[in-house]
Amino acid sequence: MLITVLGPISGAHFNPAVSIAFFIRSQIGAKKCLLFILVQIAGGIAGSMLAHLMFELPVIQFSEQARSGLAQYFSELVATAGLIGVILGGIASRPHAVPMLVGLYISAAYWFTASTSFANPAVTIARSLSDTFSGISPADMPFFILAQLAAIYPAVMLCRWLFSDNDARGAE
Amino acid sequence: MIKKQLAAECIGTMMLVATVVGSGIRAQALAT
Repeated sequence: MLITVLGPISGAHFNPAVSIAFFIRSQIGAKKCLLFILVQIAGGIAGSMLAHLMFELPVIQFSEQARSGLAQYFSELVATAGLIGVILGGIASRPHAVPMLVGLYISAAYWFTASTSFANPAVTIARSLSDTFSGISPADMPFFILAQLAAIYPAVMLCRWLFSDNDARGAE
Repeated sequence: MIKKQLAAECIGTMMLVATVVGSGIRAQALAT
């Protein structure tokens, strides 16, 4: 829903991993990428506070939810690479289906990964500020983010090769 | 245009996180 509504304005990245992927593909510049990442982090933190306010919880919290271990970090790597693959693959074959594809992928990845698929550094930072079921302890947060960042370049390169003969016109 | 783009990214990520965290709080409340 958010991608459909806000996509025409900004491309609806809502995720530093996605913005960096588009930067690697030279589809956005370094300055715009950096600005996007900054506002995504700020927006994510505001979103965490918004949820706390709606449920009458302390606005500022630090999570104590442990999410550690190689399986969790590897899950984040897989989840983030998969997300980028779905987005770039969708753009190459069915651009209008990307919002639905992302929604379906996120729903699936919640279940098929050990980490419940954060796949988003801005969301990971924001969730470290929520001591609720969906939180992640600040100690585990950097490892999630490192795994997410490590997935970007290989995913972009794989998609570049895999979809190099495709474009939206050819597939429609 | 860039201001609108930044606002869209900020609002979109805010709503995304609010949905995830809010859903988690709701799930936690239902489970207890």
